[in-house]
Amino acid sequence: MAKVKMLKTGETDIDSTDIWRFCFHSDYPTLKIALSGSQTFTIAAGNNYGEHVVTHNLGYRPIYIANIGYSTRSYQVPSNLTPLYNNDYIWVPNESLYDSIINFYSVIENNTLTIGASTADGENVVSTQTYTAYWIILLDEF
Amino acid sequence: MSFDMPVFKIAKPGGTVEDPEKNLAFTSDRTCINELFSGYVDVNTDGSGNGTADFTHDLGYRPSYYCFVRDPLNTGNWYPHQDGYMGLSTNVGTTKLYFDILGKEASSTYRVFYQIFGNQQENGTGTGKNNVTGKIKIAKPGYKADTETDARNMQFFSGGNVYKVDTALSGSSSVTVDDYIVETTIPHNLGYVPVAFVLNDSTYGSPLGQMLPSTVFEPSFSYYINNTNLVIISSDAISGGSPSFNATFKYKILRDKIA
Repeated sequence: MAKVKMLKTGETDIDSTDIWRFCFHSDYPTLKIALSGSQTFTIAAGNNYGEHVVTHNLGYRPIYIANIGYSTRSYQVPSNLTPLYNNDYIWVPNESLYDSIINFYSVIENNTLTIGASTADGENVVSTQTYTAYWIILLDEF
Repeated sequence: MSFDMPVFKIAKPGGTVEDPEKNLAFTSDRTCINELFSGYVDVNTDGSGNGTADFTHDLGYRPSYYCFVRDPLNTGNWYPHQDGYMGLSTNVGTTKLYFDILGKEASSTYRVFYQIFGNQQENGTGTGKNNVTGKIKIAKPGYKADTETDARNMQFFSGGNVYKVDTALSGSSSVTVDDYIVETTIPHNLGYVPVAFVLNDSTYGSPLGQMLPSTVFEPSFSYYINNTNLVIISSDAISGGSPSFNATFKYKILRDKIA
């Protein structure tokens, strides 16, 4: 079978077996974007989580890249994480009059991707917290 | 009179260009994840195990990115970012990629491998950047490949790098978690540390579909890669695997090199 091979800039050996030297090699399929987008979501005052659900309808669990925007930064979100901002947690005031740490999460299903934020201790926030969900969902099945 | 845009498709070995798009090696109808920068940054921790570092990308927008971090104890093992074992938290602004480690190994060096992609985090388009390189260029619909200079407006350009999945090394694995920590070893024997992604395709008190790492709650799951193996870590710190449960993982091992 014919191959399509493109070396990375600076590489010279088109017959190399070090596939990492290639920017593309047709024996090793690349990831292809199915759909993408962004949407703000909130943890509303009096609640302890908020999320956005993306419908992808692929019928299988695809590879994906989820990010959550908070203030001037965005965090790449795997299944879950406790994000740090300037070497500290992200704290929000809660209804029990102390501060809760915020967690981010994402869940991929056969037809949906959920991206969300929650308080780590389950306490409800005092005021509405706003975030932005960003997603790139790939055609490639996990 | 109008014409359909020609499409450039490449089949996988053993396949044909008539296969469903998800089974093609490449199609010009779909945007690739186009790497612009990759490299290493060291995060040095103080006596309390805290450290920060950053990398300047200067793109003027928040790009998609991914990172892996090496075990500072020089085991040769690399972990995905945002996991609780190494504790590397990353985030990105419009000019920099930021790295944070909080309360981990003191007075140590955490080497981070980063990949920054030209794709915005919602794969949007833009203007003003001059970062499209290479002789083979495919533009997004509405843009001209011969004159476009902004990577956000490209499906692919050969001056960058795109992910290369080794389908023969990729697959699935099931394990019975019957102890506090259970490791599942999947050999790749590539002789270098490749990029890898893992999905927890099962459930134990948590929803299905966890793209690892998942280390905020118990049971927790993460993984590391070294020159020889992909190792998936299942941790049940509360119950110690009693009762035991089954976990199923799907993994993709790529030919792209971390180290």
